[in-house]
Amino acid sequence: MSPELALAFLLAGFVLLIAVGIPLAFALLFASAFVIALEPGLDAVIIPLRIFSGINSFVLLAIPGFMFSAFLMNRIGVTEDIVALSDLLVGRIRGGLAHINVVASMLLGGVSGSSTADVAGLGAILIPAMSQKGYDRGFSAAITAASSAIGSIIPPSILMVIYGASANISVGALFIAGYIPGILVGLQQIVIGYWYARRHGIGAERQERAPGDALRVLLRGIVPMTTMVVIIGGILGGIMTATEAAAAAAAYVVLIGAFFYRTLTVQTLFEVAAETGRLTAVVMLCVGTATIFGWLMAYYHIIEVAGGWFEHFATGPVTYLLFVTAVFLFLGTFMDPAPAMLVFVPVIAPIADRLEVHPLLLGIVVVMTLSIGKITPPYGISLLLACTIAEIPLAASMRWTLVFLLAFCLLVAALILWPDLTLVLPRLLVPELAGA
Amino acid sequence: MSVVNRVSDVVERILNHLLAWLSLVLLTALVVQVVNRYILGLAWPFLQFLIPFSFVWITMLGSAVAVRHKLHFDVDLISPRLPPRARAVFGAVMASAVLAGGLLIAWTGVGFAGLGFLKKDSATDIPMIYTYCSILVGGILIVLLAAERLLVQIQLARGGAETEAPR
Repeated sequence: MSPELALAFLLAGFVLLIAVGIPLAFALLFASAFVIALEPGLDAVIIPLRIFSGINSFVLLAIPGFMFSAFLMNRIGVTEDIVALSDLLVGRIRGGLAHINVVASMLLGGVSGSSTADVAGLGAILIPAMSQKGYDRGFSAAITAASSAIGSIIPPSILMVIYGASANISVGALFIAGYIPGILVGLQQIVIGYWYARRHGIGAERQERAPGDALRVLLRGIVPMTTMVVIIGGILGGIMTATEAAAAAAAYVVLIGAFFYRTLTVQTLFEVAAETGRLTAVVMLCVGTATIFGWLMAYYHIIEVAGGWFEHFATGPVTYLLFVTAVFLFLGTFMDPAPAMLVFVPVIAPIADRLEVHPLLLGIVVVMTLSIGKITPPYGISLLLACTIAEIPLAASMRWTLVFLLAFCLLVAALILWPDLTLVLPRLLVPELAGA
Repeated sequence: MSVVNRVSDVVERILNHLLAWLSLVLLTALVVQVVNRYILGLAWPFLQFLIPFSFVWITMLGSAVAVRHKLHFDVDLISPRLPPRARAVFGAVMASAVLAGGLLIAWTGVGFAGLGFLKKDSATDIPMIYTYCSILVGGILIVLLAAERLLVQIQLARGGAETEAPR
């Protein structure tokens, strides 16, 4: 079979199957199995062999660790303390609840690694509170969903783990590269929240606190934040890989749940562990079947064919990154970030090398564009969740969602035009991993 | 509740227990590996076997549970636009597709499990069959739980059931 024909069967089969509603993992499986069946030189045992080799990845072992931490933190009551800490930090600014929403997402993003868990935890607390204070429910849902995207950009991030495994680059360096873009997204959303509050005459939220109360809020908020020290300190100190740091973070959250919050029960531990297993499996089955798909693309040298086609449109680093942004924004509107990365990153990453695009910059651009896909309909899972919590139809939040989306795209464009914004921190902190 | 529902409930309860234990074992093993390396100066080869073993089993068992609760990523553009009965027929077609996927995984997994008898883990000498058979078992469980979804959807399409399968 020629590479062009194999590409046509793989891509057309995959697109057709997901368009009719077949789950992505199975669409990848069927499209690959069809090509294997047509190729006399390939044996069916390639299917389980590749599924196994895809799952058997040390880097991806970080996923259950970060998921477990995120779910457990939501269950032991960390979210409420992070909201209180955010209130202490930014509540006094006009539009305080909007800022609390953003800052709490940034802080939770720094410890949890799962943006959907952030929407569920923060949305349940902040969306009703914002509605009570006179914020439009559409705005409340939009800012909750948009700010949750920060959770995928500020480390630790499950998407960065998957990207690191797909593109074969250091997850630790990618984590460090995510800080400045993540903080910039947060600042941008705080500015939008402030502008909204001024326009609608909404004031500050923060109540006066007794000094002892403020200290208590600070302490209770800072304790879960030390999880970030375990993760980033472990990676930067060269003590742990990202995978081991994820497991250490999970153990650390168990300890603070048991001894600091004292809300952790054996039943909670087992429920969270089972939930972690189920949701890890959903991602990893996609990884497994995408590995067959990717292996076939390599077998038929499709990556070179697709790469040549891609290079036809993108001749320099900037046009290439803008093209990648457009492609992944489109993919993110209807696909979950994990399978989108697993299928398409192996195609685009080799071209970046040829065009001398820094792999960390490409990683951040891909992670950012796919994470914002979680707020774009029809597959914007974070936006759907936020609208469900706000008890409004999706259309009611669209106006403000578009504002956040536009601002986000402008920031991605700025990062592409000024790569140092992303690369300065990894070059400073992990020069051996970030390159010159 | 039909026999198939009851069997699926029992299977899911067992799988959830296994998933919880495997997740805790996996995370503990990773932490122990770090502690061993930096504090105790030890290397336990068994962990080199246990970590991928737990991860692969979590993936295959969890994938089956995810089938029952329709947790696998999909792009559901068609079914929300359909009337209830057509939606049930559509759901039955999707469940059949997942069932076929499970059959494919199980069928190809037989040969792969066979390879596990021939190969041993390089660190521990434990036969790889214990890890490799997870693909076959996962495929069989996907078939079982997709079959339950299929039956529920058929009942819905016939107007014989009032509720969908659990999500």
